[in-house]
Amino acid sequence: MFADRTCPVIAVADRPSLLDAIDARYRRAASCRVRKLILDHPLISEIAGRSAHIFSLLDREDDHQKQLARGVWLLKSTITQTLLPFDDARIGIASMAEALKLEAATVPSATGAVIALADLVTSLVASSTNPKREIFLRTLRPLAGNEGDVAVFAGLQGGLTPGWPLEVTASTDFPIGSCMIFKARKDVVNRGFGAIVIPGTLRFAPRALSMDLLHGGLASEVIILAYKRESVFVPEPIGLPVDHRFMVAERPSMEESSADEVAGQQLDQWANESFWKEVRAQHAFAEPLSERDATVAARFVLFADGSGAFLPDDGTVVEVSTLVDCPESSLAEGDRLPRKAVRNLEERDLVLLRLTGSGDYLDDVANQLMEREGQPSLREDATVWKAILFRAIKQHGEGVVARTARAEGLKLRSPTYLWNWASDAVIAPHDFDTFRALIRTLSQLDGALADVNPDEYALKRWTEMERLKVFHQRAASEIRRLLLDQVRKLIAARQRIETVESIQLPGLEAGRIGLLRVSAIDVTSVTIPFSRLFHLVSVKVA
Amino acid sequence: MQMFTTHEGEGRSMQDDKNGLGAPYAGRLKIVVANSQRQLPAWADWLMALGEWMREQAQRPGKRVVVVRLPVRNLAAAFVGLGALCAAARLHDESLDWDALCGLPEGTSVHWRKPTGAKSRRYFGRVDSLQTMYGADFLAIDEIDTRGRATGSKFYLPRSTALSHGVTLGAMSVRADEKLTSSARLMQSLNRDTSLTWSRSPMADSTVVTERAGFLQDLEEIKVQAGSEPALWMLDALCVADPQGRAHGKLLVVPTRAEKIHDAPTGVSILDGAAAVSKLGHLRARSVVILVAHSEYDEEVAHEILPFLSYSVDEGVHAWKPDAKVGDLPLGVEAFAFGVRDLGNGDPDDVR
Repeated sequence: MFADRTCPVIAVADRPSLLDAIDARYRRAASCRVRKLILDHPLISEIAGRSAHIFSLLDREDDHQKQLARGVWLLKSTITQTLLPFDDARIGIASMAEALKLEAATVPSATGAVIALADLVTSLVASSTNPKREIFLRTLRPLAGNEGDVAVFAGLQGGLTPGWPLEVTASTDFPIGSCMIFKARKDVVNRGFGAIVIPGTLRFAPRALSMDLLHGGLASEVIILAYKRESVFVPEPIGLPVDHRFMVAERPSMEESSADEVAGQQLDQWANESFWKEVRAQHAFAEPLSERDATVAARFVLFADGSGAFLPDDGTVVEVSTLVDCPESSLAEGDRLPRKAVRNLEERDLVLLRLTGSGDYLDDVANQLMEREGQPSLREDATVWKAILFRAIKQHGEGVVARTARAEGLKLRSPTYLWNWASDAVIAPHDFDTFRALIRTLSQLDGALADVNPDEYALKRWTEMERLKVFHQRAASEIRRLLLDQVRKLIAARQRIETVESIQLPGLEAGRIGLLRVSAIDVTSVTIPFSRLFHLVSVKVA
Repeated sequence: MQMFTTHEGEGRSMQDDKNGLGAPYAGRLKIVVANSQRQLPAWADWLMALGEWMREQAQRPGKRVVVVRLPVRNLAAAFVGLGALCAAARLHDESLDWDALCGLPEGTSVHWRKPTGAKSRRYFGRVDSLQTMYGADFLAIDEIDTRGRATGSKFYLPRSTALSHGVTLGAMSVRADEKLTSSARLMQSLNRDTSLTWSRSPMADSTVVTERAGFLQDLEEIKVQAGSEPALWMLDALCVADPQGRAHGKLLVVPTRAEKIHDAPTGVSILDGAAAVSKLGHLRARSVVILVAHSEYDEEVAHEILPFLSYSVDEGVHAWKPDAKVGDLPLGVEAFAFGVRDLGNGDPDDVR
C-alpha cells in the first residue's frame, strides 16, 4: 500500500485556505523549471535494445507470443522505471526473467534472444545498485531541506505502472527528507511541492495529469529522470493563436531529449495500447437490445477486483474516496453524496455501482417504490409516447420529424436529439411547451394519436412523467440516505476498501450495490448502446 | 514586447469622464480568509481587469471572445465575474432598466414589491403588455399566486413605480435585498462613480456557466473588503442569481450540464472549464470569457473554438484603457482574444 501517498497528513487546522493554495500554485507555475536528467547506462541500454529486438521477432497475433512480448515489456519497463534496488523482491525482476526463459522455450525464433536478455538482467540484478535510484536519492538530499516536499509521480502508466508495486512506501524506501509518492491528481489536489520527480517518460501518462504536473503550478521544479534509451517524451501544450494584445507568458526552459530509439518506442506503444484495445474488443461491440436502444459515448473503467464497466462519457457517478479514505473530511454537506464526472475519474477513486442485475440502479429502486405504492405501470404509461416518436422517426426520418416539429414551434439544437427523447436516456423534454409541440408533431405524423386531442394527451403524459420523476427523486433520496449511513459506518469502523465493498441497503431489494475501487480508465471513449452502461463485466486480457 | 491596440480616442471609455477608478484593484480590494486580511493576488487582479474590460466592451459594437489558459481554474470565474459586475455598476444607466422591462416577452415571470406600512409585500406575475394611458407608459402585469395560478388582478405599473418597487426577474427575498445593498456599497467603495440604483435594476447582469456546486463551495470561506466597509462574503458581493428565477441577483450561475443556457445578454458570459466551452455557440452575451486550465486545453477544446476562430474579425475587440493592465498577463497565464460577427451562426435553436 502506498502508505505515504493517499490522504496527505495535514491537520485540519493547518490546512491552507483554498485561496492561499491557489495563489501558491500561480506563483509556482510562474517560476517552474523543468529539468531533465538523462542517464546513460550501458547495461540498461543493452537490455532495452534486446527487448526491442525480441519484440521484432514475435508474432503478436499468436496469444502465447503476445504474452511473451508483454512479459518482455513488463521486465524492461520495471527495470527502467523503478526507483527500488534491482534485487528488491517486491518488483521480482529475477523471477520475471526466469519466467520469460521458460515461456520462450516454445518459441524457437526468440529463445536465444530471451536467454541473452535474461543473462543481462541477471548481471544487472547482481550489481544490485539501481543508477536511477542513486541519482534520485542524490537529487532528493539537497531538496529535502528546501521549502515544500518532494513528490514522485508513480503513475507513468496509470495504476498498472511497472516498477511501482503498491507496497512501496516513501518513508522506508526513500528515507531521505520528506517525500511522497502519488499516482493520480486527487492525491496532490491543493498541495504544492518543492520538486516533483518523474522517473521516466510521460508518453503514456494521462495528458491532463501530465500538463498539470508541468504547467499547473504543483511544484517549483519538475525533474524528469530517465535513461537515455527511454525515449523521453514531455507533452507540449497546444499552441494558442498569437495575439499581440497580450504578452505571451514565458514557458519554463527545457533541455532537448537526446534519446531516439524507435524500436523501443514501438514495444512501449504496443504494450500500452494493446491492453485497452483488447478490452474494447471484448466489450464495446455489443448489439443494442432494441432499435430504441440509442448509442452513447462511454468510457471503460477498470476496477481493482478485475471487473470493469462502461460509464457515460459526459455523465457523473457517485465517488466517495475522499470520505472513506480521509475520515477527517467529514460529510459536511449532510445528505449529499459527492459526484464526479466520468471523464475526471482517477485511479483509486471509489465509485458506487450496482453489483448484480444490470444498468443504473436508480431505475430499479424507483420501479420498486412504484410497485409498493400500487403504480407498477406508471413508467410504461408515462413513456408510451416514446414508442410513437421512435416509430415516426423510423418511418419519416429525423429530418422530416424535426421540420414538422419546427412548424409546431419546437426548438431543437439538432434533429438527432429526437433520438435521445425516443430512448430511455432522458425521461422527458425539459419543459412542457417543448413536449406539447412534440406531441402535436406526432399527432400529425403517426396514426396512433389521430383520435386524441394532442394537447390533452400531452398534459396527461406530462403529469405522469412528473410523477415518475418524483419517484426517481425519492429513490435517489432513499439510496443516498441508506448509503450515507453505510459510509458513516465504514468511516467509524476505520474500514479500508482495497477492491470492492458490497453494500446491502436495507429495504431495497433492487440488486446489490457496491463501492468499487477504480484501477484504470481508458483514455479513449467509444460508442456503445445505452443499455450497456453500468454493466459490470469481468476483464480478461492475455 | 507588449503591444497595445489603442487607437486614437478608443482607449478611453466614457467612464474616464466620470473620474472613476476601475481596474486594477490591487491595493483597494482586500481578501479576507478566516479573519486574516491579505492583498488581492496579482492573478486575481488581472482576472478582475479582464472582466471589467469585457463588460465595458459589451456596451460597444460587435461580439468578442477571450480564451484564457490558467495553471488552475478554481476562483478564476468568480474574479472575472466580480470585475464584470464592478464595471456594470459603473456603467449603469437607469433609463435602460425601463427599456429592458418593456422589452420582456409577454408571459415572462416577474416579481415585485409594494410597500405596505413598514414592510413591503411581495407579488408575482407575468408580463402582459406595455400600455399607454393618459400620456404615460404602464407595464401591465397579470398577478399570479404562489402556485402559478392567475389571481385575476392586473397591475399597471408606471415607470417610476416599476423601478422603485424593484421589479425583478428573480424572486427578491429580504436576504437577496441585503446582498444587493451590501454589494452596491462595496462597489461604491471601490469606484466613486458606481451607481447605487444598479442594485435595483431588474435583470441579472452577467453569467457564469460552471460546475455550480464546486463554484459555490470554493467561495464559501472568502470575503472581500474595500475602504471602510466591513468585509463582505464574496458570494454576497457577486449577488449570485438562480437561473430558474428563484432568487434575484446580478451574476447568474448556470450549471454546465443545463440543456439550454439562457445567459444574461447585457453583460459578460463566462464559460468556466472545458465542459462549458461547448455552450459557446448558444450564448446571447456579446462578451464571452472562456477559462480553461492548461490541463484542460486539449484537442477537443481547440476543436470547439476553431469554427468561431475561423470566422473571427478584428472589429469586435476594442482596446482597453491605458492603465487597465489587462495586457500584462501574470506569468503562467496565457490569453488570446478574437471578435466574432455572429456567435451563433444564426439562431442556435434552429433545426440544422
